[in-house]
Amino acid sequence: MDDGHDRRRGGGHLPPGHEPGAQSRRVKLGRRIVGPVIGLLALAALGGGVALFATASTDTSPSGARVGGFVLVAMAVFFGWLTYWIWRRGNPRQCGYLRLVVDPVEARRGDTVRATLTITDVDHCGEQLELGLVCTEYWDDKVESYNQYGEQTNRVTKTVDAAKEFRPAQRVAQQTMEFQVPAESPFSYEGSAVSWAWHVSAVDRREHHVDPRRDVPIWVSP
Amino acid sequence: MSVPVTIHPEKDAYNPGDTVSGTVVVVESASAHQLELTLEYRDATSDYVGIARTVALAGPLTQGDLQEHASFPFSVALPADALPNCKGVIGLTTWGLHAQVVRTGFDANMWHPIDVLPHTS
Repeated sequence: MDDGHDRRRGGGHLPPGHEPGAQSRRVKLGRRIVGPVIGLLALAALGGGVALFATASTDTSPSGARVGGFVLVAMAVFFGWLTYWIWRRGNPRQCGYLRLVVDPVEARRGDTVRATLTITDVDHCGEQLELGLVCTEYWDDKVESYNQYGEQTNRVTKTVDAAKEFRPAQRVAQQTMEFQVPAESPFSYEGSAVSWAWHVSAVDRREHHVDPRRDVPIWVSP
Repeated sequence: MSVPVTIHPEKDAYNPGDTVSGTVVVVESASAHQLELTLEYRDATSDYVGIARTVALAGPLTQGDLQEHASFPFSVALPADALPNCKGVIGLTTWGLHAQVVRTGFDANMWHPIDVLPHTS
């Protein structure tokens, strides 16, 4: 379906000159609020854990204080990882040894775009390098969850690939590929409940790791 | 809640810049303050709908109570730069006519999608 990456890092899923729509702004705002709140929880847990460890020797129950400190530090690690994961969802790692130039970045459906991939450090590059053209559909889903207060409904923006063409790339210093934007595919669109975003992507596929990648957003008109 | 009107455009498919004409027919007498019609571009999933663009008529189609079998002609121009309808994997965008019976309490709404084709150049 999709690679799980949301490229909307502050409108970074769009080429220059195009503004994010209501859905993109909503997702970005949610990430801006949730990430720092969990980050603060991580810091508070870390501070509490360190304080408990530091005062354990003078505590009436030193072992209890150490156990409490361990639990708080474990919570801090978990919340810290969660904060990083939320941030990384919105800011996918961009690979330093891959450079990608796309021309044109403004195309129409049916047009051809030319992608030039430069590998600055071929030795760093894995065996499964791919270059592709992808259209990601962002769609809003109603997700029901349950807690002690009963049923809750949340508006969640999910992603699916609406169009995707990846080809193997060679481990050479520079190569160029041409991709045709499918004539029947969605066009670039920034909406309230649905958005479509196009990008050219160079992906260095790695087993058991997050694939290093380089993405260049393009705008596809009808 | 039943919707007391139906929308009947003359065609189902249009090009940007075309005029969308037709009639709104009252199928059930109803008390109302007024009957409005707008042309809208919506994006939607099965759970959510957003209105991306609205083209309003100069005024309401009629004011006051609606009588059964009454019909109200309308004519509204699609913008020349209108985006076409588009279908993705799950979501879609579509133009359509939105009739709204404004009345005391909840308004009644009727939506009739129309097909808008891409620019041909």
